[in-house]
Amino acid sequence: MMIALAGRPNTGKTSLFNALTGRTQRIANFAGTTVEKAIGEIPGENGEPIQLVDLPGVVTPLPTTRDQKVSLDFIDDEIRRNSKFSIFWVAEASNLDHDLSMALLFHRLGYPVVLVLNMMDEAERNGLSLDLSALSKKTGMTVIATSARQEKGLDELRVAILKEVTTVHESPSRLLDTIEPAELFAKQSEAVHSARQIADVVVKNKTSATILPKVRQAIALDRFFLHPIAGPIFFMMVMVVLFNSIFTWAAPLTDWLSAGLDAASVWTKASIPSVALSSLLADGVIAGIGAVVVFVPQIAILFLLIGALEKSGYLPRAAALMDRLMRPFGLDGKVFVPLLSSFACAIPGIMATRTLDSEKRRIATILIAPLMTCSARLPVYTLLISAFIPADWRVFGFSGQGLTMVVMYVLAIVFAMIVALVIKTTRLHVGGGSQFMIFPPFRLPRSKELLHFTWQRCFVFVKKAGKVIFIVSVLLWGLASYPKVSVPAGAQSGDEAHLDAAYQIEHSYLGQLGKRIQPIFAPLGYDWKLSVGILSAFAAREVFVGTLGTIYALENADETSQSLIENLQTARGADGAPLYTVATAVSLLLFFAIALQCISTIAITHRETGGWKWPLIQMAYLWTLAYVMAFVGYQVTRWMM
Amino acid sequence: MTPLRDVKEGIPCTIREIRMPLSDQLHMVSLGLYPSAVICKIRKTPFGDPVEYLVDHDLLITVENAIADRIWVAPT
Repeated sequence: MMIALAGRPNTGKTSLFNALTGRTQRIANFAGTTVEKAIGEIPGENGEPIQLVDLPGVVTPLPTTRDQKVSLDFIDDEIRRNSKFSIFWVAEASNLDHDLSMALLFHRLGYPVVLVLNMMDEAERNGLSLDLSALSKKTGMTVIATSARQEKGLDELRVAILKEVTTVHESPSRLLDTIEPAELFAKQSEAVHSARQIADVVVKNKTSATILPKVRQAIALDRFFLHPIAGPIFFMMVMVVLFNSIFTWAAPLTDWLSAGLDAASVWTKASIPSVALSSLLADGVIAGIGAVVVFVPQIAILFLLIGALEKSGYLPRAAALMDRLMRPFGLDGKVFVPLLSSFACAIPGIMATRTLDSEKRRIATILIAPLMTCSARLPVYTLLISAFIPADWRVFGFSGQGLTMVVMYVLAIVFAMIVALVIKTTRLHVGGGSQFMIFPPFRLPRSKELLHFTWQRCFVFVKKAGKVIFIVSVLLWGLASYPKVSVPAGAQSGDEAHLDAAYQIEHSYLGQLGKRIQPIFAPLGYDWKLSVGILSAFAAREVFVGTLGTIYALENADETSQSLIENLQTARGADGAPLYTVATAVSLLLFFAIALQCISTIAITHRETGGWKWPLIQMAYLWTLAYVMAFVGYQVTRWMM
Repeated sequence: MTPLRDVKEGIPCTIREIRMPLSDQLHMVSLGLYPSAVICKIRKTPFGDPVEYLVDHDLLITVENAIADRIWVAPT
């Protein structure tokens, strides 16, 4: 038993899906949030579950983008094999004349369609009233009125779903994928005209010349957001606040978390009698996972702000604003949205490229998306910036550390645009900009939705990072703790415990492995510990921080309260000189800004491009570029200092 | 008839003809840009392209100039 929620983009399908199933699909106020179908379950009458499918938005019966093709292919496939399958077409109540035409087309072809008029609350605020029985009579479809945000009409919707899944439907006379474009054009034009005629009768208080309050408000606000001077200035301010706040607003929470983890480590060592077990837990697990967990406040702030931009309706305006600027690089404004998503994580960013009209531009965007500064880079950047950029350095009143973070974000964009320029010289280039973009009305993001969205993203981050880092930390602890060695007699030191631990780790399996791979990274200024960190970060970037956390916790067995930042600042080489300098930090920052260190990203590129060609090209160019830029950065900084 | 691109801001006009391949026309019709739709130019984006239009008084949409050149309109 299956029901599909379909409709034009941004009509609240995902909100309804979440309200019905309790699942938490991502919701935003722009088209293309759902780029892949999501499946949830609701209980049926006899306890048998009914599958509910949330489909990507559909605009046209002849799909021009991958996300629309996913929806239409799914509908036709299900119709062919399941006689109890129905489409619940979700339309925006205030926009009935535009949202009704596709539902009419499906219905007239014989598809089983129920019309769901969502966002009824907004229609009321716009002063509209709809005659639902007249609508049902004129269209021949069952009509359900809902408001997903206010959770109204959901019981009626459940009843309609239960009724539909127990009804055996006749097969449609024609399926969409069997109709020639010319005939489809005629049928769709007919449906568009009928939709307007029906809407004129059904929607009260609205004539064809009425401009709704939400449209009037959007036009007024766009006067500012798209103003030739104010628009770009506001956009730049939004970007600076977004990236600067990640560093500055999170500091108190990060300090608090860091202190808590240190206390947990000390407590573990004091309460567990077994030295090996307490070391495994405190120096391996807590140090490894803790090194990443302390950065959760920053990631939360990033997601909170991106979520607010998504849900407000500002993003499509920013995309229109960026369209002309991106064209010289062979990109367009629509590319801006997947790239901004990639600042949180490259995976949803790459998936969001399904909304792009051109396949070539989609591949080009996928190739550059991993260059955007994703949340997994934040722990690495924060660690290096905190360790090597003075906290009291200020530029025009802004924190120097915060500005360095902004520079890292800008640098990522610069690298991406340079790569885009190179791609422009290849056969992947497509001319022109974004042909069309629909502007949704502005909506005030609901705090509940925003907090939920942020919590969900942080939870996924901790879960993913926690799993990998737990395994890597335990593995590293084992490799660093064995074989057991002792400092040879006659070694000079005023600090025996520290010397023992340092000697142990240097001669452990991990030390031996690090020293073997270190020559590869030596030109970039990395010692064996950083080389091990880079190696472990193949799985995921944030593992680098966890790895260093474990190595230094083991090495400083007597100094558990010392933070990883202090450890990096005070690390000394055999000659007593600082082991890590600003040049090392510059090299590492450049390396992490570019290198593709995320198995999930490689996997999603493989899936989205349908083969290994593009992921291999992506890996090869990003790793080569990362190595070269880190080498240049290290050597130039050393020369300058 | 003139191309949509040449219409002055704030003057409503009606789409008469869309000169592009059928599949693109179908896309435009589905979006709400179909012959007889009333369209009003709202404003250019900061760099002059795309341009924001209001279709049938309730749909805000940006259209690239190169596309607006192929939509032929007449004064309403």
